Amino acid sequence: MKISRDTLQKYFEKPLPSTAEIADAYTFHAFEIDSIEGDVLDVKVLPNRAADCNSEAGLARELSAILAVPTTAPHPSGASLPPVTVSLAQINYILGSDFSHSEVEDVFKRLGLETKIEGDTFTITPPSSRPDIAIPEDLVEEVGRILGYDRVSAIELPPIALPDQRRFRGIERIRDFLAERDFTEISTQSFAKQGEVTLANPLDETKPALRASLEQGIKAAVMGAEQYAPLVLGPNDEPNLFEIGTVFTTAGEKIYLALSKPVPELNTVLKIEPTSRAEIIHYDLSEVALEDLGRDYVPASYALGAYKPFSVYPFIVRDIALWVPAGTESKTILEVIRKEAGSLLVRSELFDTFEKAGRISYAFRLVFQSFEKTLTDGEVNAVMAGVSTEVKTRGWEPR
Amino acid sequence: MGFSIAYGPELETDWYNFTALNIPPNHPARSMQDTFWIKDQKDKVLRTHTTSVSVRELEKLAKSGGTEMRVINPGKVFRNEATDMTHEAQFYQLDGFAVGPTESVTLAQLKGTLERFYREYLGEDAKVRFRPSFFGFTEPSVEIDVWFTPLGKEPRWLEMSGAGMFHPNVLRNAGLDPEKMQGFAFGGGLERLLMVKYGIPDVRLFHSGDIRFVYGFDEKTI
Repeated sequence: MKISRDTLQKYFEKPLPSTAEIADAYTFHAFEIDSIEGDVLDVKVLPNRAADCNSEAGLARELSAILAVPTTAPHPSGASLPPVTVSLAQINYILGSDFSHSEVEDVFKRLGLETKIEGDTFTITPPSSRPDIAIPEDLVEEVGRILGYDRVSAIELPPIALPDQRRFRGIERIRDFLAERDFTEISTQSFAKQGEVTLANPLDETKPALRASLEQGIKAAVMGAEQYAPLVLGPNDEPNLFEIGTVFTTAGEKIYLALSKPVPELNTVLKIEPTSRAEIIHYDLSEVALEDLGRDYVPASYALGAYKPFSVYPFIVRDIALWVPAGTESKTILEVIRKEAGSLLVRSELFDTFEKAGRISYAFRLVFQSFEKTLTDGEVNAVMAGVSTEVKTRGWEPR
Repeated sequence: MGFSIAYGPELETDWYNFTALNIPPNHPARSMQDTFWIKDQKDKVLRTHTTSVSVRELEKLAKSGGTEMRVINPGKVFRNEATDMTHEAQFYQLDGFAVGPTESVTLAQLKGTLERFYREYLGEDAKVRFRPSFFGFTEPSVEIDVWFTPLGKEPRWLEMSGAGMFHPNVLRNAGLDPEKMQGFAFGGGLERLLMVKYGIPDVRLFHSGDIRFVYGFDEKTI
């Protein structure tokens, strides 16, 4: 609901603080502020407070309670709801706080709630506009948010016995096993063109079902991986993919492992045979004793650096082979090529070497790509011509 | 910190996803989540949060007669909402809870637990603040903002997850006595956490199956 500082001011005799301070008051004690434009706040009234706060007077009353400044907005009349009782001890042992009796008393007063105090207990009779106050915990929330959650300190839980994480460790063991064999894990969409379980309200009408197999997802990923392999893998490497994911069948939900290439020794680890050995290999991990697999296993840990976004434009691959005198190191040549080729060269690697008659032949794979546009053959040809000229001046002979 | 890891079904019953979590039919919280319903299975939904697993774990605690439990539930969840750079119809959530005898597990300990997690995961300067919120399954309910320094940027507050103290009805629905038990619960998207930590621009990359994304990080084994 949108409301301006001027509008709120109509309900207060004392001048209100700045718009920014009012926004903070709501944010940390009642409701999120979706936006501030000039002195207009867009207050996101929570659904459980719709009955009393979706009005100018309601928001003014709420602000009055937060700031502890009296308002002229009338308190809602009408029937009362059943009384709710909470004790000071209960408030403090739920919040982990040390609020005092007088602070709590003051909160209920500021909120304009009819309160009966007997020793350490507070009995509130909420007006009909506060149906969100029905159980003691609702009153605990009123105290916590009005006094401020910044007054709840951060306390760690006491230690307990080491928990059971064997199933998790079992799945991690499979992941590590495949990663050690140069497999790359991917995750694909659970929605599919066809399946045994269908959505009543699909987001994408072309994929109305839940996958009954990982086959389609991983096949599409393999096609993509083969296409993009020169960007991420060496010239002599091929992409091996696997996915571990849930599939949905009429017989129930299962966890499957799908591989783009067979790994025979995996059968020994999993103690099962694959369910299919076609182009994509599938294992039903629901049949695997994951807890046994994970017993005493310590998963590998990886530290990742910052993510480097990739270019969405196509790349161009060029190979160059050179005769050089024996004793010339490939990395020296690569440095020359990289310097000459400039920033369009995104990947460059040696992929073949042989010696003949006192000379060495090196073959390098060069991958070109721009972050700004689709490169043309002409542009790459020009770069390659420059590379060729440069290597010749060093006495290296392109083959 | 003593949390075990629990798993549960992605295709969930209405009971575990909503009703047991104190979100009965027509409850305002249901309209806050865009749910995928299943054709010809009126009772089934794709889980909108892994809080459904929390109820299943609390039931196990009730059956075992135990009085203390700490669990996290990482897993895939689904929301029927238009996708863009920051929204995806399927993503991972990390939900968790700690329960114990009354007076033992407090909102202050929720703050302590999350602050330690974010300090270890995002950096020593990370800290946590709470803002009021509303979820059917917690009372009080809070939003969690985390203060930290994203890569190459100024430090800032970022909204990371929702949390609160278990609503007594949730404990009751799981077969526990809310007069004798209390506990905290929290849950938030995992992709978002990774996005801010590593500077990933688009949430849709995670489940695209694209190896260019997987190879977009420098990596070393530790």
